[in-house]
Amino acid sequence: MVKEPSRWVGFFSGRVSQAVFIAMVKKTTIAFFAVLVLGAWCSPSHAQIAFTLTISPSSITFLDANPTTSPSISASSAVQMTIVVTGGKNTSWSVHSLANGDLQNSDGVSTIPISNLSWTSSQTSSSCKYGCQCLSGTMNRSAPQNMIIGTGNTPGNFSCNMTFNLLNNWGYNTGSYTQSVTITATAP
Amino acid sequence: MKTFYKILAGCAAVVVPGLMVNSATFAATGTATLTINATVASRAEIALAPTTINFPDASPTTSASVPADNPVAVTARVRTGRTTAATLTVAAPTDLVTGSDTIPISNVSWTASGAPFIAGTMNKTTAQSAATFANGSGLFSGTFNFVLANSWTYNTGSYTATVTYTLTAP
Amino acid sequence: MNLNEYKSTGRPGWSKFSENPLCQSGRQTTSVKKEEIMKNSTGSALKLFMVCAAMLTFALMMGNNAFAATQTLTVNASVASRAELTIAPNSISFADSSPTTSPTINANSTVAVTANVRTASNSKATLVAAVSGDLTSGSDTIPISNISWTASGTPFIAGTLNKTTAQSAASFSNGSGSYSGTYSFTMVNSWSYNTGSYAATVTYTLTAP
Repeated sequence: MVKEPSRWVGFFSGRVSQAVFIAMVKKTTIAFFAVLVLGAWCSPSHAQIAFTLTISPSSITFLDANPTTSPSISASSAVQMTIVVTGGKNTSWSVHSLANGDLQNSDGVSTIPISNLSWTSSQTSSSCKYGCQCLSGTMNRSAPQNMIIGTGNTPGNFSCNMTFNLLNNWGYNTGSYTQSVTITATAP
Repeated sequence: MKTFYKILAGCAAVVVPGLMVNSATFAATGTATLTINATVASRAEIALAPTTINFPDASPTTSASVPADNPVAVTARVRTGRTTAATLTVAAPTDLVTGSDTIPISNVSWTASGAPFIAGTMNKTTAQSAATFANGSGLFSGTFNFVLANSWTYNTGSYTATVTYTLTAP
Repeated sequence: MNLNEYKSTGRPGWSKFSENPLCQSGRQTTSVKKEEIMKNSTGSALKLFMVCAAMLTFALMMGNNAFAATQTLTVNASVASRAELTIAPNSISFADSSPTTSPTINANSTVAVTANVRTASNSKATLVAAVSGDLTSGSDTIPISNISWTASGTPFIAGTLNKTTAQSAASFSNGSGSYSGTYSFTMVNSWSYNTGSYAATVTYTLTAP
């Protein structure tokens, strides 16, 4: 019986030889990966960017001090911030901080403005090909504050040594204060 | 293992109380010293009121002595040391005089009321003590009552004399 | 129907069908025809697949968000009780004067006071003035209660020195703070004061619970 002719009649109605089938698979695979490569080359490069972000230590402490003799207190230890960026090509990226509120006293009432917390930062690793910067700044609970900015991949680890300082003030009520700061690496 | 846990428990028994003690909250104090100094120097003030007295005319037959028209209130203020005493003297260097006539100033005497004031008689040669103060500072008030011995030998006239009271605080 | 029967119908598509060498009859050309059909069909399918794959790849890549990494930094601060008191000058004098004209004497200088306290939000600091005895000069004394002061600047308050009971010199509100003010001292003058140089020491104590 002859079926209604169509463009597909030869393909679907007959058996295919092994050689032809293998050839089909080969061509399909080559085409698929060719499309992938073409797509990767043509598409924006951030589609493949990846970050590895580490901070050490993850907790810092400001000890009590006399505001008269110590108008500013340095944290008990510096924080080493390390970022690894891959797949970035010439994509701009940043590491920024956003505090989750003011420093809160365990008494449930007293606070220390998080804007009294600032940091200075210095590079402790090799420079990036397209430029990376360690930035100093002041903590903010509303607007993210950049700590590191860069373009493209890092030469392995890119590290900044960050020293945190807290303004000291006679107006602080006694107690233990704490707050968490979210540090995010993202592009752009 | 048992030994290990024993050691661990022993350490905890020492460390935990120690931490609890160290975590106690203490009040804080701050002190300051203020030194107060005060200087008190010798000082003397005397006040008399009135500053003029008069002896009216009277018959020597009926008034052998004539009292002054007013008593004199005296106030003496002194600052001196606890071992020193103030002095009050009255000096009358001249007799009562009118023209070329005189009445001896020694004819004027006074009585006193109110410690430490004392009675006396004017003397144109030597200042007379008018008070006997105790040691130390103080404020003192009293009264002097003056009298003039009367005599038929007094020539007529308006006689006058000036006496000076001196309060001294060593 | 068979091939020849369909050929005779003249139905649409026949011309293409008939022109297609693959549609020629003949057993010898069957496998070749089939191969060619398959090649042509495979090529079409392949093209379609490539297009779909390309679209899918682009879609996936365009639709993908950039990776982000997050860390959390914990900030701790300790604030302990603290009390710091300064007065300036730390010595004042009352000059000699006549009690008649000056029943009270002002000190030669006012005293500036600064109290810095750290305490809890529900605690109050205290400031007291204590003196152990009268003004003395050798064996002579002037009652210390003859010295009093006025104050300016919150929370400092006026008072009179007392050798028995420490006197409050400020009235603080709850919590921490830094406070500045002034004390002005006066002494009652009297003719009963023996001459001499008198002195007394007043100790101010600031306490932050």
